[in-house]
Amino acid sequence: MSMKSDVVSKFTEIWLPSTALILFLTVFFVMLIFVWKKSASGFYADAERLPFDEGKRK
Amino acid sequence: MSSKEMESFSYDDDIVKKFAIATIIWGAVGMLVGVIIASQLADWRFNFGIEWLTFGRLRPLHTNAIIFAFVGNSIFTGIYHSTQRLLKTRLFSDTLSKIHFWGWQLIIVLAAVTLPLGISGSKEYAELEWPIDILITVIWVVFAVNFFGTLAKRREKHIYVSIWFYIASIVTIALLHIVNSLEIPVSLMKSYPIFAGVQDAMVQWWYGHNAVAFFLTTPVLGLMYYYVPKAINRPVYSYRLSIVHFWSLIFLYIWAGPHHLLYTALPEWAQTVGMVFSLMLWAPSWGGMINGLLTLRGAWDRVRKEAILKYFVTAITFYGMSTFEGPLLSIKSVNSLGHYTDWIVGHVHGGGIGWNYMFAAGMLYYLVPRLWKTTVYSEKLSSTQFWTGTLGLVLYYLSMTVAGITQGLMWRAIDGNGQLVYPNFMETVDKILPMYWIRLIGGLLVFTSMLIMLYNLFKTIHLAKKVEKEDVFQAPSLDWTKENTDKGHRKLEGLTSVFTVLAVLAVLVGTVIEFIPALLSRDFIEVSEKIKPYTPLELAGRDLYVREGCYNCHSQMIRPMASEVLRYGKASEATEFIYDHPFQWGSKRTGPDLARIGGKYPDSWHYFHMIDPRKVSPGSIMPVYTWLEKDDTEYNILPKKLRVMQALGVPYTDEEVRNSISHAKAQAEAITRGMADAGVSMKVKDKQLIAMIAYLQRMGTDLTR
Ligand code: HEC
Repeated sequence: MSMKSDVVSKFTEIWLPSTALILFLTVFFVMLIFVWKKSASGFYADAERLPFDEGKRK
Repeated sequence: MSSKEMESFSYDDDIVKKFAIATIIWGAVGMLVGVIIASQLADWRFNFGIEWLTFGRLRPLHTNAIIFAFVGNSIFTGIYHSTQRLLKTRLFSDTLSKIHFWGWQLIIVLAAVTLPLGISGSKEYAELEWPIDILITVIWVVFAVNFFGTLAKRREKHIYVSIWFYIASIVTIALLHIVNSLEIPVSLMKSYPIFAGVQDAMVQWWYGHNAVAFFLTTPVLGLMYYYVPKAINRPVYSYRLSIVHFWSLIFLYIWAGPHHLLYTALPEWAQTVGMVFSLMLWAPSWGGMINGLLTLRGAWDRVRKEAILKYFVTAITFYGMSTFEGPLLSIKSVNSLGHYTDWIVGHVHGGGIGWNYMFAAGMLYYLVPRLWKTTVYSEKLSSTQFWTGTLGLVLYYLSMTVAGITQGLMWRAIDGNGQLVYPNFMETVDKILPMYWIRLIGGLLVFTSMLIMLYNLFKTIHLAKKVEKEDVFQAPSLDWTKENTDKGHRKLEGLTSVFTVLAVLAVLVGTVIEFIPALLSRDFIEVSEKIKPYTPLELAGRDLYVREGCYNCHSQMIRPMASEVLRYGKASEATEFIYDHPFQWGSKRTGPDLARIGGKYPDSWHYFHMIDPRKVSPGSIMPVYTWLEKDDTEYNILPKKLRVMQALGVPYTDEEVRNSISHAKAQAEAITRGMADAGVSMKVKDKQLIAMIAYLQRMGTDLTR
C-alpha cells in the first residue's frame, strides 16, 4: 500500500488534538468569566482611556 | 505612589520619523517590484531577458519587501510611537533604536541585492541566506531589548491592550525565524536546511502561516487598538472584547499552519487539526473586526469627510474579509479547488493591500503631520490616493479570484469517459491571461496611489517648520516598591514578565502540538528502498532550480485526487522527499506540477524548452533561461555540498563524496552526448543547463521506475 496511508494509519494520536481542544475551551471560558466579572468594570473604564493620557505637556 | 513626585521626560520621535520615512520609500519600492512581476505574467518579455529580473528571482524580493520592509518599518513606526506614549516614558535606549533602524535597513538592502542574484534558500518569505538570517536575529534581539527595556522603565503601571499584541508578536517572530532558519552553510551564500521533505514543509508552513499572523496581523491589531481610538478621539468599543480577542487569537493562530498543506503527503489528522483551528479563528478575528468598527459607531459622518478614518474603516473591513476567506480556504473541499491557484494570490492581496497598506496609510496620515507639527499638504490628494488605491485593490482582488476559480475548475474538469477536459496546461493559462492584464492594471493603480502618498507626505514634511527641541512631558514616577494589590486580569497587566510568559505559553501550546507530528513524521515514514539520494550533478541542478526560484511557478506535489493523477501521474508520497533539503513543493501553479516530470520528455526537449519555452510549447509564459546555457556548472563545490548533505543524514558514502566531481562530469557528458542527434553540441557539456536537465529528468522517477 502507499506510504501515505501507512503514515496515517500509524498516526493514531487523537489524544493530542483532543487535549488541545479541551485546553483551549477551558482557558477560553475561564477567561470569559474572568473578564466579565462585575467587580472589574471600573478598571476597564480606566484602561480604555490609557491612549488619551500621554503625560502633562510642560 | 511616592507622594506624586513628577518626573520630566521627552519622547524619542526622531526614530519614529526615520521609520515613517523608510515605510513610505520601501512601500513604493516593494509595490514597484510587484508591478514588474505582474507584468511578466501578462507578457513574459517584461524581464527583458535579464536574469536578475526574472519572475522566479523577483517574486521573493516583492514578498520580502512588502512584508519586512514596508509593513515591517510601518509597525516599528507605530510601535515606537505608541509604546512611549502608552507607557509615558522615552524608549529604553536611543542607541539601540538607531542600531535597530539602520540594521533593519541594511537587511533590506542586502535582500534587494542577494535575491535578484539568485542567492536564496527558497523557503517562501524566508528566502534570505544564512548570514542575513543571523543579522535578522541580532537586530530582532536589539529591538526586543529596546522594547522590553522600555516596559521596565515605564511610568504607567497598566499595559494597554496594544502592548500585549506587541509583546506576543515580538517573541513569536523570534521563535519562528530561528526555528525556520536552522540550516548548515555550504559556503558564504549557500546553505541547506536541517529539515528535509515533509518535515521541512511542516516547519516552513508553520513559519509561513504565522509570519502572516504575527508579522502582518497581530502587531497591526495592536496599532489598530491605539490609532483608531486616537483618530476618532474616543475609547475602543469594548475593552473586554479586546482581551478575549487577544488571548483567543494568539492561542489559536499558531495551530493553523498545516492548512497550507492540505491534500499533500501530510498525516491526515494533522491536516484536520489545521482545518478545525483555522475555522475556529473566525470567531476572534471577527470579534476584533467588530470591536474596531464599533469604535467608530455614531461617527460615520466623520468617516465620509476624513481620509484617515476612510483608510482605517477600509483596513478593518478587509481584515474581516480576509480572516473570513482564510478559514474558508482551509476547508478541505474549498482548498482542493483553490490551492495552487491565483485565488490564493487574490486572498493575500486582499490582506496585504486591503488591510496592511490601508492601515499603514491611515496611520501615516495620522502620524506625519503630528510628528512634524504641521498639517497635511493636501487633503484632496490623500482622498484621491484612497480612491485610486481602493479601485486598484478591487480590480486586483476580483481578477485574481476569477482567475483562480477558473484555473481550479479547468484543472479538475473530467469528462464522461474519465478523461481530462483540458489536458493541455497551456489552455488553462490562455484562459486566464486577460485576468493577468486586469491584475496588472489593478496593481498599477495601487502603486500610483502609493506614489501619491509619497508625494503628499514628502511635501508635508518639506513644508513643515524645522523643530529642533523635543517637547517635555511630565508624569508621576511609578513606585515599584508598593505592593501589587490589584486582582484578576488587571493584576496580570501590572506584571509584564508573568504576562509575557503566559503569552509565550499560549503560543507554545500550539507550536508543540504542531511540532510533534513534524518531529515524529520522519520516524513514521517508511523509507522505501527505491528512494536514492541525488547524484552530484542532479544536486547541482537542484540548486539551480532553487537559485532560479522555479518553485514560484511550479509545484512538486501531486495531490491524491483523480484529476491530478490523470494530469501529472501517481500521487506524491512522503517517502519521496526524505533527501530534499530544502523541500520544493511550491505553493502556486502558474506552470504545471513537476513532481513526475522525469522521463516525460527527452533531454533535448528540456534543452530547447529552457532556452526558449515557446519553441516547444507555443504561447508559454515561462521566462527564457538562456544564461544556463552560457554559465559553467560549479563542479568544485560538489564534494562540500555532499559532505553537508551527509552530515544531515543523506546516505552518501565517503567514496561518493570523493568522486563527486568526476561522477558529475561523466553524467553531464553522457547527457550531452545523448542529445547529439537533436543537434546539441558537445561544447555545452559543462554548462549549467545540463545539470538542470539531469535534475528534471530524475524528479519523481525513483518510485515509478
Ligand atoms: C513565470 C512562471 C514560470 C517560471 C518562473 C518557470 N516556469 Fe516552467 N513553466 C511555466 C509555464 C506556464 C509552463 C507551461 C508551458 C510550457 O511548457 O512552457 C511551464 C512548463 C515547464 C516545464 C514543462 C512541464 C510539462 O509537464 O510540460 C518544465 C520542465 C519547466 N516549466 C521547468 C521550469 C524550470 C526548471 C524553471 C526554473 C528554472 C521554470 N520552469 C520556471 C511557467 C514558469
